[in-house]
Amino acid sequence: MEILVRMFHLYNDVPLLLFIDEYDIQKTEPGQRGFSVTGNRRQNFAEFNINSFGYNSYREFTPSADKIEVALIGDSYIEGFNQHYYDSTGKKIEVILNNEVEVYEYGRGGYDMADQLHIINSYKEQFELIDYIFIYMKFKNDLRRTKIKPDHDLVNLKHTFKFQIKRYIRVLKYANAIGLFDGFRDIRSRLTQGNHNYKAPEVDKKKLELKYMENFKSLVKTYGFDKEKTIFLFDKRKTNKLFLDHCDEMGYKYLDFGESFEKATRPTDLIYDRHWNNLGRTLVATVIANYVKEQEALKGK
Amino acid sequence: MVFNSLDFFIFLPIVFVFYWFVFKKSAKSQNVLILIASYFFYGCWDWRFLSLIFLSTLVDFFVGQRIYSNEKKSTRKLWLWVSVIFNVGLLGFFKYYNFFVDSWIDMVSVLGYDIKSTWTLRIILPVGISFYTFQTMSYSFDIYYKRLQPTKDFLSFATFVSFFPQLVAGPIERASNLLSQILNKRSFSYEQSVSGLKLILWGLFKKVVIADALAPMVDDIFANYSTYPASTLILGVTLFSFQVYGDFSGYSDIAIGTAKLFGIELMSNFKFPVFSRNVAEYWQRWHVSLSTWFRHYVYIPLGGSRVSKLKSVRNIIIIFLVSGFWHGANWTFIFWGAFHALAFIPVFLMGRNTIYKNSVVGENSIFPSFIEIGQMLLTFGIVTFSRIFFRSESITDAFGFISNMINNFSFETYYHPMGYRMIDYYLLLVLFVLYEYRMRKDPRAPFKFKSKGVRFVAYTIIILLMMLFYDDGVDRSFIYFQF
Repeated sequence: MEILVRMFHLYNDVPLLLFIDEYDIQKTEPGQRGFSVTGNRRQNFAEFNINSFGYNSYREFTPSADKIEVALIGDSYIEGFNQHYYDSTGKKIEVILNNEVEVYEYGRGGYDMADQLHIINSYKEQFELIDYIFIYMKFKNDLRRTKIKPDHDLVNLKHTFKFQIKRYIRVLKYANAIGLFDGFRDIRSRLTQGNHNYKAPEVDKKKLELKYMENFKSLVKTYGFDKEKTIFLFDKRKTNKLFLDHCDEMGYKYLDFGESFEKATRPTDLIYDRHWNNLGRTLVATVIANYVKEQEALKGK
Repeated sequence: MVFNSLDFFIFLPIVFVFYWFVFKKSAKSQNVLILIASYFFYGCWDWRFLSLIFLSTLVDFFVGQRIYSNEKKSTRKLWLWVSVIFNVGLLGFFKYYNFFVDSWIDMVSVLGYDIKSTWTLRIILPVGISFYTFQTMSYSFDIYYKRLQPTKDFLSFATFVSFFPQLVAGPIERASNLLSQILNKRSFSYEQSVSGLKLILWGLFKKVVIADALAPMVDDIFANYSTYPASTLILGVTLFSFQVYGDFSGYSDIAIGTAKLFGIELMSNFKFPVFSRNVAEYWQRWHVSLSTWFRHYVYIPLGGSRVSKLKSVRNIIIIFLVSGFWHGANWTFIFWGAFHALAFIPVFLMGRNTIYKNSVVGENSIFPSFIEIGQMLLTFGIVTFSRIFFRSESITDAFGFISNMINNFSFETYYHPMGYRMIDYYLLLVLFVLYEYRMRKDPRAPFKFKSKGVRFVAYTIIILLMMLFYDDGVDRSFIYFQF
């Protein structure tokens, strides 16, 4: 079984070895290559490549004053394990802009606004050379905290026996991914949790939204924010009105890709997970490229 | 607890170990364990309905004794009726009560009277009730027809009724086969156990890879039949044919294989019905334990084929209608039964209903002849068409499905609702049919390869295929549990 699973590469090479850098930023250890696999029968199969900075990209990040650079910062959508690393949103932007810009993708699954602003703040020198910074955000997920907290436990998992088994016995990894062990988990939870009717307490939605807004203000205060070249990238349909109003009021720039998604006649998300498919990434890239083109044209004038 | 659950795969080895290592001393101790395990197995679903099994056991145990001890035919018949009324009464109440009430209200409303129904009850259908009531009744019938002597061993009888491998979906055993084995001490046989494990693996393959993998497509096509062209509807019902076969024969294989692990041989329930050359042969190969039940206890007592042609035709219609109704309290099943009666009668009138009784397709050759291929395709087509009634939610849906097939007679490529490659499934079905054809002479012998190496590769491929087609989002219960 192990041979067959390896032969047909049914297992997923993700998750990878992680590390926490000198600024407490959680990244992926450089130089790792492999394939991200989704579904029992490799319904989604994409190669990834971790560059020397610790992110999935075909590029090394070498900003300079004499080039136009774009930074995309975000979670798994920007990390893009579900697509070939040479066909990422960043690469698509470069192609649309005739390779006249370089796009750096700082994406890692689970990154939120605290991580994103902390990265910009920590690598100040690098980001000062970058011309456009796009922060991909989801209001519901990204504003839950006001400062970063590196997850040492997660990073140290690589030293555990369980991690090694998962990493090297591919048939177990595959079986786990397709849900074969869910039954064991179910039995364990049945044995450990007596009360099956437990319901999470209801949260006041309005209160939560206000808290997220406060968190955002606090994050900006802590890490700073360059309103000139930093632009939020989001789906306006899924973004809270309070936040939109705040952006308008305080002069935060944003780009909405939701409109082009709405107009699309074909699905923009993958079937097997919720990430953008090729069309979705093309639409997002087009929105960003158009913005950059527009800004560069204005600068030219 | 269902066969394709982790719970079962924890339960089974525990019972197996206790059976052969702790309770192996006598038939009595083996039966004590099997009985406890069976009641636990059933109780995991709903312990309240254990009382029904126990009552059914008690009634038929007692009735059996009464029938046997009376020489007078009318008294014997009276006791037989006690068993029939009790068991059919259970079925009638739990399975058919609401159907009769609703049908009555519908009929009255056709006549212009409007009745507001307050009579229907919220009744849960006890799992397997149609199977174990028929099994216990067969015991009383066999004693009545003097084919069997009643047992005085209540423990063994209770074990016979509740034997967990076949309790909830058959095969519907006869006491002459199962009870006689239960009354005697079983000895461990390595060959029998290995053969059982092979059947369990093959049954799981049929359930997980064939039935469960096809389920999302079948569900999609039947739920949205009005939006699909004829080509997709034909595909949907064809896939359902394979789904229901994989599901039910898979269950039967697991049941037979599990019983083998405990030293017990159950009757075969499926003998490759896909390779039937006419509808009569199909019924000798599909759900054999039920069709023989109806033949022995309904068709033959009605006169069978030893009466006039007209009466025989009447008897055929009766058993098919009853058989349809056995499947569920819905007009769709009655239509399904009637359709099969109509398909069977011409075969019967031509005297071709038993010509394939003792042979298989391609009996003396590797490949079937062109005539046999034509016969199989025709039979498969007829049987598959009948499944429109079997699968549809209501009779209106069934006719809507058929009318859409006729009115929208066009071709369109069908895409899997989850976006999976359809070619995987087509290829899988072709390989499945070819492999079943290879083993067509012996339904109990999957993985019959001489070389150990080939067997090992076959097991590995089967397990890999199960992983490739396993879908944790699919409802994994067996279709026949609802009956």
